[in-house]
Amino acid sequence: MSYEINDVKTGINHAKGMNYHVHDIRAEMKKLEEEGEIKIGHIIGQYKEEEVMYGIKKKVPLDMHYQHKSCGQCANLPGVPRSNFYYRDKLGIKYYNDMQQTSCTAWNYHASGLGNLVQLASVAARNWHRAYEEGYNFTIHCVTSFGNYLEMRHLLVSNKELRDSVKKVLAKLGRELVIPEEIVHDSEIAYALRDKILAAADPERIEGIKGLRAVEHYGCHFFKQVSDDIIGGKRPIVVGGLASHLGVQMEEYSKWFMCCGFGFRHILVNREFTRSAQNIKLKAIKQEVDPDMILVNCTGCGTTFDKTQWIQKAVGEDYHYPVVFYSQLAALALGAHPFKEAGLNFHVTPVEPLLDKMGIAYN
Amino acid sequence: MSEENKNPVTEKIESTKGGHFYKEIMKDFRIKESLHGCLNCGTCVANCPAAAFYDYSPREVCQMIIEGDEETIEEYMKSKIWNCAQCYSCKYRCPKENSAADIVMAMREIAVREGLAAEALAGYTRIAKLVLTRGNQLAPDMLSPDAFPDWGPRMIELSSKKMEMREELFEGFPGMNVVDRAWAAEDYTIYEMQKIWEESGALEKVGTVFPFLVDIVQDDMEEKAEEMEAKIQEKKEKLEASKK
Ligand code: SF4
Ligand code: SF4
Repeated sequence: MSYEINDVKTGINHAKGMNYHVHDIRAEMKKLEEEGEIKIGHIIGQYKEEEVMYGIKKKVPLDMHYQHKSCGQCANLPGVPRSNFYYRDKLGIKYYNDMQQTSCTAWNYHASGLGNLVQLASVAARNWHRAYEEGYNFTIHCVTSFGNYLEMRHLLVSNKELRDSVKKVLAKLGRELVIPEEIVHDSEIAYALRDKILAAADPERIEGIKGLRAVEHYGCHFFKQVSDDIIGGKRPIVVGGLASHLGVQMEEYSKWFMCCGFGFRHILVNREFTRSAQNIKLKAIKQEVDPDMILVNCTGCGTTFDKTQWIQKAVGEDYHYPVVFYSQLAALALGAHPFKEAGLNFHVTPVEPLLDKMGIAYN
Repeated sequence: MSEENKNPVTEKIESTKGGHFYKEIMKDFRIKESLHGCLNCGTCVANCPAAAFYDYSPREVCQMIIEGDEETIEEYMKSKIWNCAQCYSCKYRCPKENSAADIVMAMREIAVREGLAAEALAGYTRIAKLVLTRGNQLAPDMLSPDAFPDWGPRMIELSSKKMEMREELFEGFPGMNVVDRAWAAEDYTIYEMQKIWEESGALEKVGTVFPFLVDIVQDDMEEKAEEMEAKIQEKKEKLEASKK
């Protein structure tokens, strides 16, 4: 039976070519907008175009940033949202830290199966609407939220039934469905601003950054959940791109693709899985590179890398790689105090050796 | 559903297979996008962190749906689906653009609905409660060293100093220096969130695992309803006016 089914589908695949899933979400959204089916929250102010898969251009807004926060970062790695605010303050970018936003609830959803798609998409749309009614561009701190919002946009655009259900829920809140023209992660914004960050950077700090060796790890939900709308194409470039622009020497390691082991539920209730996955990643990082730091853009991965190095002593390993977010690096380059303004003291894997190497005082 | 979204493979499987769980799974519209036939190549397995450590396989997930193999589906429904890390490595790498990750997600939803998730969700109460009563999923208070002893000694130090440290970090940023939630979402915002869960049927589903939580949320909503509904009414009128 399966043979027959496979045969049918193989035929379709070949007929359409292996890239049969190529579609231009922007064109689909435009069509729905013209039909009056959805509203689009168009980019406000200046933007920069960066290329995503198939050469499609993504407009990265450069000002008026609604800060859609990450609950994991705010609770656990608060230096990240603080650094996100810091680099905007330094570059004179207007942003809005709204207290009428909620978590995206995607961490809950993927971990537990509690909730449903109408709930998840309505939560997304309510947050999108907050940015729209306040006159800001929707921008996202968290990779879990980013992947979720890319997926919710896709599902809302491709499925009328879901769209209608979500519209009904929103109407009960006095809101409407306004899909942002672009779903943009903060690390994509920092990348698009790389020239400005470098130009405004403290030369002494850049001197300290120059020549540091780093590996990068991207959240799975940054590029695997919906893989055709991230800057750089199939493999992400924004974290390493920003870092190398600031002078960091980026190094390759064989396990770059592998999931960090966060697993949404595993980090809470099955951490032996998390630790085992980490051991594979860290071992490759140590043997192949032995870098000065691990650069990340994802809440879950940052947590996992930072929190799971110490325990590897239990299996005879000694790992000590400071975990730094792209925006913390940007903030440091721009002159931030490593603790009071970049919050690196909230990390449990010691960052002090890295700061010493960079010549940055922290006490 | 548009022409684009029609999937002859899943349509064909649907018409020929039986089994309760199978039928429930096929009702989820994501399945159509997640299965395009399977080469049995194992590319997904080679990239799957769950397959590396558990008796679990994304290839098997795709195959059991194509086969309509109720016995294997049941095995997954009852426990194996909870092994998946939801990393989407399978989806990214599959030459057929299948997504075991999405199939598993559809199955987790069903497992919760059908009362099969109690064991998997034991220890999940605090997060569910936070989502439904604070509008956030995580709070600094939840990261206590006794819950995370494997995070090491620095965690203990951090935990005892977090208030002062946060105060220093977030000086001048109202709503950020809180420890019982990630940020201080307004009551009105929390009410809207609760209403979304209620209107979408998600709250009812929560009741299959955490019935007491539904009572908490409903009491909370009732208490605030009059004031909050008046605000919503204002919003509705404003929206109507803007359409004219
Ligand atoms: S990678 Fe895709 S085609 Fe290959 S076994 Fe896995 S699901 Fe089947
Ligand atoms: S999403 Fe689940 S099935 Fe797919 S590769 Fe990750 S752990 Fe494996």
